[in-house]
Amino acid sequence: MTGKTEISRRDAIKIKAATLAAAAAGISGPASAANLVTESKETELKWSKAACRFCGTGCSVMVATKDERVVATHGDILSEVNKGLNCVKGYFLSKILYGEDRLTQPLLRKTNGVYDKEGEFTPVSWDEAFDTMAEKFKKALNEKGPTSVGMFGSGQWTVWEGYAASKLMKAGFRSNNIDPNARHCMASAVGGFMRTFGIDEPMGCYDDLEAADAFVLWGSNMAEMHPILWTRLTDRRLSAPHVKVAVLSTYEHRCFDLADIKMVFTPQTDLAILNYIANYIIQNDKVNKDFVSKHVNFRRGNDDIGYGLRPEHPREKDAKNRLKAGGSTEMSFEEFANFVKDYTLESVHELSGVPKNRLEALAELYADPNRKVTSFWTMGFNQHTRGVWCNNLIYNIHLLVGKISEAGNSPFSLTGQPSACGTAREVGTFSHRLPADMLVAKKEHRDIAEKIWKLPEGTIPPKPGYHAVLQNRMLKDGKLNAYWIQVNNNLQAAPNMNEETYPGYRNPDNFIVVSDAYPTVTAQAADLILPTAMWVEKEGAYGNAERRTQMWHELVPAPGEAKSDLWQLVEFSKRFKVEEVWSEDLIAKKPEYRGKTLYDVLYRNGQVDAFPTSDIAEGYANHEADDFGFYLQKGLFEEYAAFGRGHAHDLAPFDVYHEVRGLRWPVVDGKETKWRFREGSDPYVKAGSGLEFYGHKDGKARIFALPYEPAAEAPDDEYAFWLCTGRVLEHWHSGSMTQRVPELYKSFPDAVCFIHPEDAKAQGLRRGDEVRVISRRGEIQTRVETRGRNKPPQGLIFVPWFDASQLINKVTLDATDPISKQTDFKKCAVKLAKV
Amino acid sequence: MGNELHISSLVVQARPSSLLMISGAIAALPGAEVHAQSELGKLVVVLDVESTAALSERMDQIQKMAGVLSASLVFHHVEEASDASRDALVLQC
Repeated sequence: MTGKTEISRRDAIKIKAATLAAAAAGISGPASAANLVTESKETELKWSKAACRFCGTGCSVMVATKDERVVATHGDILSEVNKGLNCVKGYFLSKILYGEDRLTQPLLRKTNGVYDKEGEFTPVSWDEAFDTMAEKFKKALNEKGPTSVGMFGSGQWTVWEGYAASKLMKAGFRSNNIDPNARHCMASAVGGFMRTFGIDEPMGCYDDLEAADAFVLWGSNMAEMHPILWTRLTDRRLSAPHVKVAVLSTYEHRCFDLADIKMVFTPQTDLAILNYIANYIIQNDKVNKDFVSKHVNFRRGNDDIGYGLRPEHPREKDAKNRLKAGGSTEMSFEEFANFVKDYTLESVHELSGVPKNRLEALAELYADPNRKVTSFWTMGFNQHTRGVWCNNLIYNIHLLVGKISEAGNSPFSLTGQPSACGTAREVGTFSHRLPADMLVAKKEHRDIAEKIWKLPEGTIPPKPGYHAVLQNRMLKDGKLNAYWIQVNNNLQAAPNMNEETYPGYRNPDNFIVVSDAYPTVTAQAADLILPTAMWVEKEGAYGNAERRTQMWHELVPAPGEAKSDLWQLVEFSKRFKVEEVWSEDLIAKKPEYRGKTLYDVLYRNGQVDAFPTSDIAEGYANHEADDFGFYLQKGLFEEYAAFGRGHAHDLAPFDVYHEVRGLRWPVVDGKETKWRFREGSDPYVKAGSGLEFYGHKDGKARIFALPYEPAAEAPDDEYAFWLCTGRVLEHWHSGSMTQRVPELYKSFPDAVCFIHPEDAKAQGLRRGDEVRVISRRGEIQTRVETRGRNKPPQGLIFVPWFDASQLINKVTLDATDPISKQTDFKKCAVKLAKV
Repeated sequence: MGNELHISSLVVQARPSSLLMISGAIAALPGAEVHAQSELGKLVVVLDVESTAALSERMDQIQKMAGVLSASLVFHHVEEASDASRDALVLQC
């Protein structure tokens, strides 16, 4: 039928909106919009793709710009990750750039025109900012050496920013004191992967969501934290009725709405539940013996490993394996079976509080050979004083039944930050790592890095640097004195801020620099603030939780004098002569570097500066290239990619990523890898072997015998409640960006204390009452919430941590996993007092 | 505010058994229309409101409805309201 119908623009837009949504939902929508003529207003917009800036899911969004501003976004239909959908956070991406309090010029604390740690923030030029900063870094390096300088970065750094930072610190300043906030988020997952598989990051991918017959959520509130993945999981559950969903948590949250098996367990007893499932599988003769004999070794892990507190803390003194936390010895399958046999249904039910029939139903999901199971976890496992153990124990279960590395059978560690995988982990911005899973402590690994970087042998120090929590302790103790923080709000995010973080930042011996787009709590505690270009104000690359690397172009200019973190790092490097930072004997090995700057040595080395600005795609700006005169991002990426190519971390050529919606590494001969370790999917598996865990030299994965051990601090008569902290859907990254979006702020304006109604009543509290939450370390004031989305059991309260006016990390304990050094933000003891 | 036009679309997931009820509840919200639904528990919802505040309030209401498992956004369009109601568009179909 052809004809002309006159409708209002309003109706036309509605039809377009409905059609796009119907397409994204995979259902037939109104057909009338199929041939909608392109409107003139639409053609004024320039649409480009970008990776969402918020979480580790890695959604692709289409971004419309007009007159150098972002004016609209929508979910990218071509993206395999989000298939046209967006969550509420992604929806407001365009507004993140335009908060009223964006920082637009460097600010230095001054009194009477000169730097003063107690002075007021005063606008200064980039030159004055970097001159002051360089003076402080040089002073620290001269007086105390490389261990007195450090950096704290983020899983929100783009790939090349993390790479440039790591290179500047580890090779330029020769300090391994660089760590990302991913330490608070993913370090236990990394520890688990390295220990069990000898190589980091999930073997599976999001395609598992459409192939699994059961999903088990271990300490992951996907409905709020990874809504797009939750939408895919919900789709699978509703479209295939045999699919089961099991949810475990220490309190009820939104995922329980969909759950078939709901389990609220006593904090820390997840360790026992995991061992119970292994025991169930063995007792019921459900072990996949063929798989286990071919692909698995058994090890007894060291127990009694302490809680990562300061060494003088009473809990540390008695821990027998405090200094050998990661150690293990060989054992047999029979010995392992004997080890888990005490984790009976009866005993684990008693310990965890989970009804017996639910424990059995959960164990049966894994044991049933005809059911494909995908396990998801996030902070519930990782932010745990036994976080690496939790990761090891879930792999134990999948390995015992051989449910791994194939569509639907997948132990899947999800990430919190957009490039926790792509930057923090793959680039190796941790204090102990180098790119492609290599370690600073290994001579052969340092040799490889120094060779690729064209640096003299011995440049990179062999001793791991200070990890996140240790950085704060060393700042407080005056051992770390020149400190640069980029893309994160660590003062708010780190534990025990009253006793460790804040005193460290304000220690008169220290100079603290914070690069941020907004005046966060952390920025306000600094001595120098550098204004930062964010998201599509710069060219970027992120890597998501399924090993997918994605890129975007610079789409709009940054406000005022704001510059990208990358520009800041590279520009700052110009202020250091090699002689000022390297010893004479090191320079003697490369005399041609004498008289050069770190900029020359690190970034004008014939590799990083190998690509001309003419390689930049037409129609896109690049403010770094404007200043440095070469295509910095491409050069950094290609140099970085040399670490992984041929070593099971292969990335495609740079330009490819600007064309596609991401690719999952290893990318070999242009083909991405969906399931690692599986022949036919992963090119690194030897032909004929079917499956090969090649991360370990013997080609096998490890099953670890690890016990239940209690939490670092548990409720007692005086501090009678467990405190669990976490996020809510509308806020991400400590609220430093999302609280700038009025709609997000409005929907969840202030943090509250979620509490069971009976507990509230017993304390004389009513919904909306003001209440003090008090631990042995500090307290905050908040309001009581007895309804709402999170429903704690009796004896536990939940407080979100995004609210800068109610800093719950005054209350938390800085106990960490002794192996991963990741903090347990989920467990400490508090009491409540009515105001 | 109030002189802006915000048109957006959502995909809402709910248990099929409660789909009818939720569909009715959403349609009763000011500015909300249900354009399509599938038996597998999905609704296509279009919101036509006058401010970002109204938009976020509506989304909040939908997300908090009992039985709603998820609500994702697909499309968002903002412009001055006067433009859209004045201009007529010739649609070929």
